[in-house]
Amino acid sequence: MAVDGLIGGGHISGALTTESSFISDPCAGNADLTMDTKEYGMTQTLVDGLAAAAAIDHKGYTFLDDRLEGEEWSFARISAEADRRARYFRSLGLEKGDRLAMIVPDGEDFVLSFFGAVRAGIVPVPMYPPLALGKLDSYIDTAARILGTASAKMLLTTKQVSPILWSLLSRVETLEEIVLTEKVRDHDDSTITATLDDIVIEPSDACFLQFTSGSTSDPKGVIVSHENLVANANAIMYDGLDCDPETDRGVSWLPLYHDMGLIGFVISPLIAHVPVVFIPTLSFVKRPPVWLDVVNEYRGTITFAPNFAFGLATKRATPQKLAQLDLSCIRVLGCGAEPINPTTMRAFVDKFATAGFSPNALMPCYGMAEATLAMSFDRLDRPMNTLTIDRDAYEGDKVAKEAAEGLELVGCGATFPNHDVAIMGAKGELLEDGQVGEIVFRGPSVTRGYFENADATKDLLAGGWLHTGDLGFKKNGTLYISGRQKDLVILNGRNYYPQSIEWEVEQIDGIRKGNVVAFSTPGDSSEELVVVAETKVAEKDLLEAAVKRRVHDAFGIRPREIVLVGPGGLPKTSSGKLQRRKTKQLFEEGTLGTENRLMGSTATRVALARHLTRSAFARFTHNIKKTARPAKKLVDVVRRAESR
Amino acid sequence: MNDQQIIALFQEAVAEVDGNVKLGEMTAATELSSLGLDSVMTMEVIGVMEEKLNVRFPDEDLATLKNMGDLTKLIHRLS
Repeated sequence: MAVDGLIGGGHISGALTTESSFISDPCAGNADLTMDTKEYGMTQTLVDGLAAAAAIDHKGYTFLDDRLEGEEWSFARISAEADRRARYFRSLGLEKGDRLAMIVPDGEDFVLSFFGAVRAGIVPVPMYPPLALGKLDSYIDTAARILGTASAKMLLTTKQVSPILWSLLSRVETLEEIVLTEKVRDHDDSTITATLDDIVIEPSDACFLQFTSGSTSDPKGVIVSHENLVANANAIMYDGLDCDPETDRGVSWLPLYHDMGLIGFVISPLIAHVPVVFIPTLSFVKRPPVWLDVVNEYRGTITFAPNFAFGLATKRATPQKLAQLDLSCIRVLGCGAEPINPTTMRAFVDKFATAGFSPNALMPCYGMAEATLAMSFDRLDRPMNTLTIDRDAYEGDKVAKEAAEGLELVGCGATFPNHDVAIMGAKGELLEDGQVGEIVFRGPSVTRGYFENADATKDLLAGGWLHTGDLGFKKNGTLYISGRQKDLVILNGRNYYPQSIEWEVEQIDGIRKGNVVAFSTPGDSSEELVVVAETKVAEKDLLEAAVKRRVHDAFGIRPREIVLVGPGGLPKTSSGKLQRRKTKQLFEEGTLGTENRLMGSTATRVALARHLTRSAFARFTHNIKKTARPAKKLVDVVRRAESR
Repeated sequence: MNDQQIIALFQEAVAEVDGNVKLGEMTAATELSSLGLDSVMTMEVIGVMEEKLNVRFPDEDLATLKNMGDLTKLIHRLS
């Protein structure tokens, strides 16, 4: 997975083109997949939540720096600072409903400005910051597309990052200004006349736009409304986590521009008044043990991470380290946001059990940005539950049949009160327990759609259900997720799930875990299987043969080609997920694995120089535009020259 | 600490992060991207070095590191 990307923009979007018009009894068979209802607070909007937070001055959010030192901001102080920043944003000319893009790496600044914008009814658009210079070109392109899609009026960023972002002003029609966080933070409040008295926020108002990282060429912004947020926050904090604001404390290193970090640890805990300690994402990546060190030190009770982080934490835990940890404080360790590998989970539980970690605390969960965040959580009172199903029945008949050997899947629990999760067949019919189909979802957490994208919205919400694009089934009151519908490998009329092939290949010595992609590509007469894997091994022939043999033994398929690339050779999304479709596209274009080689230091420096030049130029023309209207013609001339 | 010692320390850090990585001869011109480390591993190695040297590399400097020479220069500047 890529560092630049941890730093990601949400989950792969679940748009699907199937028309599902035929629904008999939508609730049939769902009762067993819903949790019991709990009491919620009175909050209707996140702005209500900020107002209520003003009364809580004895706890709040602690933002640690890279040295793991930091100060606690009480909820009351956060609320007051949000008001102060809200007035500043209004004084800049931002109105209710205007989009304010945010490229802000620092957690404290991000959270306070995010809440400030929300308080004023401005719609923030969180974006991930640039980190790896080698990818600056594509970063700027993606950023321009997101800003354009969101019709962002202003972009908030830091002094450090801004020099490379100025070129966006000339590339994005709606973008009027780049605002520096330093100015927002340090402005003199006495000079601000704007008030917040006339701001009225309705539950149906858009609160922010969450861009998904699935497709960079055609980004889609999920509209997250206040009522979506409150519904999902209540579901997470009360139904799913059964939180106690007096005793619970969250710990998170998750990027805040990503839904699990932002909704799970910034918005939901504020609504439920649960304190949180934030670790910089980069500090976790540099030193994975800091995650559990901070949990230990602050006696954290709730923390979440994607699958890969469990692997990193396990790998880096020395016996000496384990002896210093007492993880008995962890009540819930959630795992979500990417496919959950049972082997990785077991290794984690085995290792940290000696440090007091309770296996019951491990909680697999399932969600996506289009459902605000969470769709299902496993129960709090049991260890991870897995189900091993027969491969033949699964791939041939699309039925989940329990077996001694086969495909092992992790149960992701049940959905929340007022929400339904169901499995849908190809004709839009709802399927029985044990049948495999597309996971669909509905309830107050579901978005009303993508920002200014009616076509994608129609597909996403066809027939009144959110189409996740994920495949899965229900069994024994538990939801199991088995893969992405679009990634299905169909060979000779038989369905194979790429994940099951990938996890099999991962078992081979020399193959990098979590860095395998399987897909099908048109062959001479029918689709054929291609497996691409990252390896550090130099002797590739033997390894290729081993992969071929393993795939053949496990699935009876002869792959057409095995492609072995070096570490980092597989394309990944901004949040570090493998990109199957991009891998397939690069394979078919014959350019797979060449991306890194082209990015030598000279090319990188040239790219940086070009961006800085363009940025400086854009800043110059922007200033002309601002100070002298008549100069607009000159700007147009310049722009035309620039676009050539 | 001279450049040779910094390179040796780097090799130790890589071994600590992943014992399977085989590093060949390294000089100031050796590109970090040619070592067979992905971006997460590179950051982990940087993290181990920070602890060994008891320094913190600023984020904006990390983004510009290309070869071992850049790294030794950064370390000299910080210490």
